[in-house]
Amino acid sequence: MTLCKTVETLSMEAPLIETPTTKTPVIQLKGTNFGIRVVFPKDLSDDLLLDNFEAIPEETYALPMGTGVVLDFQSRSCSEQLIGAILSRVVWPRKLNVLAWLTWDKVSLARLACAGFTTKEPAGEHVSGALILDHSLRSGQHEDYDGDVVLVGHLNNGAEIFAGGSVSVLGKLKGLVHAGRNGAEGIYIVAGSFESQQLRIGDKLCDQFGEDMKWWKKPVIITLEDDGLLFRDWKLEAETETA
Amino acid sequence: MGARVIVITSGKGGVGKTTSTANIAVALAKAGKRVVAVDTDIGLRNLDMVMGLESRVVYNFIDVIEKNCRLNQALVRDKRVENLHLLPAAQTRTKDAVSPAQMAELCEQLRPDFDFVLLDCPAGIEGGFKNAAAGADEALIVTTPEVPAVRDADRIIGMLESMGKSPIRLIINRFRPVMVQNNEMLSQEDILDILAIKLIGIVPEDDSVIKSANRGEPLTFTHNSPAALAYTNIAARILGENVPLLHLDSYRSQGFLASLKKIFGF
Repeated sequence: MTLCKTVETLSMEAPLIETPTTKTPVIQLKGTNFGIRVVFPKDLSDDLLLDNFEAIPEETYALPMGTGVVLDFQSRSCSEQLIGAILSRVVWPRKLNVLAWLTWDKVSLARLACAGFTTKEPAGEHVSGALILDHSLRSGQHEDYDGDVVLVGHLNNGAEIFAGGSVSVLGKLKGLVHAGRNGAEGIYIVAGSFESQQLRIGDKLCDQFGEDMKWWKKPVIITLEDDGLLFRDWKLEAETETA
Repeated sequence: MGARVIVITSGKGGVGKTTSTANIAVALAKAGKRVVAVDTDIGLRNLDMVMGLESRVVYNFIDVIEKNCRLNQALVRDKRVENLHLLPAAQTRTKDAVSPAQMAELCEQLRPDFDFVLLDCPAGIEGGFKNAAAGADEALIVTTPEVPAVRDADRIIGMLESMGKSPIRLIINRFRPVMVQNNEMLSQEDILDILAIKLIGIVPEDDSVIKSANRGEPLTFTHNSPAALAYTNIAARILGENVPLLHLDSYRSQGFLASLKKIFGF
């Protein structure tokens, strides 16, 4: 799968514009309501990733609020060797309770699923049940929902969807979407045709979009990865390969 | 069964609501319908000027609501065409001088004596709009082919839909085919794609609109300009006639006079 990073990433906190820098990618640990989310960066070799993961103190995972960890590979490819090394060098020695292995990479996802690992976001991240809207939202109309939102229609310029979960706009996305408003992880935005000048996922705001961008008026899925918005083609693929 | 009450609105100011109201009112009256055009823009009235009836205004509809006069005393009859009346707004009051319920009641009083009540709505989405929309059954949305005007129209359409107004139809005003061809203006298809409502007419940009507003003589009195023909066709479509849209490109390539000759065969 071809991936393309957005050109700009803006933080919602001042200063608004982050200048892109060449910093060494690091493993991020994020506290959640199910425990610890371990986010692996894409641009880190397998060896360095394992070394860094192993170097995280054991006490880190012993937070009283936690019940386990989620390993989030984002769009990183996840080989059998890497999976085996993670298990043998970190998970089993530390007796980690891995609730889920998450990845956007389809080959890796299939590999993890075949191995019997849980590959879905743990329940409890956000409310269950999606809000389904079967009509377009016009300018000035606003939907606010704690869970996922699916809009079967267009989100017109001047309309807004603020969601605790993910947001799918099956028509044209011209208005404003804020997905993962409460900071939930594993959030995505889907657009049948991306035509919005600003997006927000979690605490990230990106407002550098326009007709000159590659993804303009294309079907896309957008996720948050390595502190930036990641755009990919969104295609409804036939399931014949896996049937 | 009484009058059809139609609000002419836009959200954005300056797109041609008052001009459209005046011209459609005249065209409907010329078609033999009993018409009253109501200026609901309290404090900023100008429908009386566009219709050329400014000097004959004595009372206004606030006077009717406050029972300072009877309804037929406030109605200004246009002597140039049968069955056309104006109900003016008060120039010295503000939008909060009337409530939506009072406007709805006023429309009910007008229904029995007319075939059409046209409500010229003020710009904006606040009290003035809500007052005007309260008594209406249906709506005509006026927009120009500009992104801000279309976005405001979209906002107004959403509000009218939530109020249960139907049908809501679109007039694209000040349309310039040359600019569309040069990709400098939103096309008819672009606008309809965004607003997703039925189009009732496209009015081309026409210098005679400004002249007629200054003279106080709506174009549809004379029927000799592109905009006049467009408004006459809109009135016909309101009456349920199946009138094709003007081929606006032909005005550019052949000139308007040649187009009229082609249409009317002279």
